[in-house]
Amino acid sequence: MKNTKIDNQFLGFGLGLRTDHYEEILSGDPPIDWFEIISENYMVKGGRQLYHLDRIKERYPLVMHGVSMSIGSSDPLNMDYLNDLKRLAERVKPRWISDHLCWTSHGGHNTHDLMPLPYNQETLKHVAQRVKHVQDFLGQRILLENASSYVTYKVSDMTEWEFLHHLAEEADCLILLDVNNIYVSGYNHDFDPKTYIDYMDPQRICQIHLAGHENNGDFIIDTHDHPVIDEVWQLYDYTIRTLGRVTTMIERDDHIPPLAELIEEVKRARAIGKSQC
Amino acid sequence: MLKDIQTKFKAAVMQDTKEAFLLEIEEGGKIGPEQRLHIYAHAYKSRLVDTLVEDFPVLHSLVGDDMFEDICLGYIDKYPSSHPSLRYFGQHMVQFLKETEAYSNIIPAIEMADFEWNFNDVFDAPDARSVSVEEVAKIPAQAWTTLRIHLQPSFVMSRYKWNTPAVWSTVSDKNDDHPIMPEEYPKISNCIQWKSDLKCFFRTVPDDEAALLNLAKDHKSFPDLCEQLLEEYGEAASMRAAELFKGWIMEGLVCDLEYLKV
Repeated sequence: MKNTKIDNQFLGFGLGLRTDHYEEILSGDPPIDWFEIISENYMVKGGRQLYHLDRIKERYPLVMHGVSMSIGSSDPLNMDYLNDLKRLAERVKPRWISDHLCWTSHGGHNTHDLMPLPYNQETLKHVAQRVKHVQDFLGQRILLENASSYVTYKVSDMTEWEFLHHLAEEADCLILLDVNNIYVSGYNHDFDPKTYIDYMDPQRICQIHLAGHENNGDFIIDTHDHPVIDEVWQLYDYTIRTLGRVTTMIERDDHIPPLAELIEEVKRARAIGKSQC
Repeated sequence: MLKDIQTKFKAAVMQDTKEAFLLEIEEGGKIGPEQRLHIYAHAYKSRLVDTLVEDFPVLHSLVGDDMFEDICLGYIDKYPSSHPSLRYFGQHMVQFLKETEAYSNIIPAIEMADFEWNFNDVFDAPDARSVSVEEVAKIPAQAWTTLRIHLQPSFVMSRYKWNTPAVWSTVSDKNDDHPIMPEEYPKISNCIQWKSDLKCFFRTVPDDEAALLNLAKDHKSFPDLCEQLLEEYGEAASMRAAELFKGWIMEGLVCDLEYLKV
């Protein structure tokens, strides 16, 4: 992968594809530029999910977003998983493939959660090697997303934004910047989200996620089951002004509202994106 | 160091042995290490419980909230997820119920878990087309002796002692006016589940049909199927086999026909 030119395509303003909206997407012409699929939901042999996916991919650009690569695990890479992912990519032909900067499995068991990593040289070296291996296997750069977190470690000696930046350089990968997650982690760990965004290399930022969360007063849980809050919209505005135009999408994973409601959020992202470019 | 932290974190989340991991957490902010860890531990259990609730709704309804919660928590401890996709998390539920003393005698619950999990597998099994009546009509008369029937890849057959499929129907349809209560059959019954044209189906089948479906699944020839019925039907065996075969075609159970082109 090293030394090939980074050519970030701008896909426009998209939405996470959810089963609730299949029929409406296929029967209408919703003003959405592209969709993101959760890779694991389609790593099956047949059924309605794949049926609808095949039809939607004929009409919209798709990207694949995974939750189980476990790129930061100390277990060996799960090659069965990567083979399934590659097979799905051959079917979907996504514009790109992403997952999270985290670990999800250890000792052969899955937590099904995005567990945070300690940020230090040991982890950086370990994760960079694995990213390179995955990229060579898939034959393309991958995007890694910053996950929301509730724990930081005593053994960390760099910030998450420093780690992510250095990882992208070292492994020559790209970044999916979740602006909501930066806000959530900033709230939970008491840092200024703008510091995070200022540190990012615009060349490496390929996609942005926007989502809602649940504020419990003392801490925020990243639930993706609410609309994007005003503070996150403002942070998105700042992000675009700082990093330039970036492919952006609305991510809703629970309490899925009617498509029209999410389209309004996509429109808002589009308006902010246009006003800054 | 990374492996050590992940081992401690996993133990804290999965086994509730949190002391070692708490020492690794940076202090500061509005909440302490214990509450920070609790967010992950709570999310782990609730995500897995939610998955089982989604995969076994009728089992849940059958045993009630309290027992279902006990089942879920016991299952999560005994069979932590070993697959990257939550889709497969519930795959050991039948085994768990059978081997756990508290549930091993609740046969309707074990059978319901089996029935519901089968539907999970049927749902995303490989898709295949359904053979039409017109295609059957085109089979040359002399080719029937070589005919082999291919059933849908999603096809599965189970044997139940209780009226599990009927209870599943009544609960799934939310038929509260005339609910069907779990009841033991006078004899074991056969139930088939399959998918055709992306829709999932099930029905109970008589013993002779079950025997034929098993033979068809093993790719035995149509004459083998007829022979299976000889003892019970005598000269009418071929007619009965043809009748059953026609029914399978109408139901979309057959995805391919294999015969010598003569």
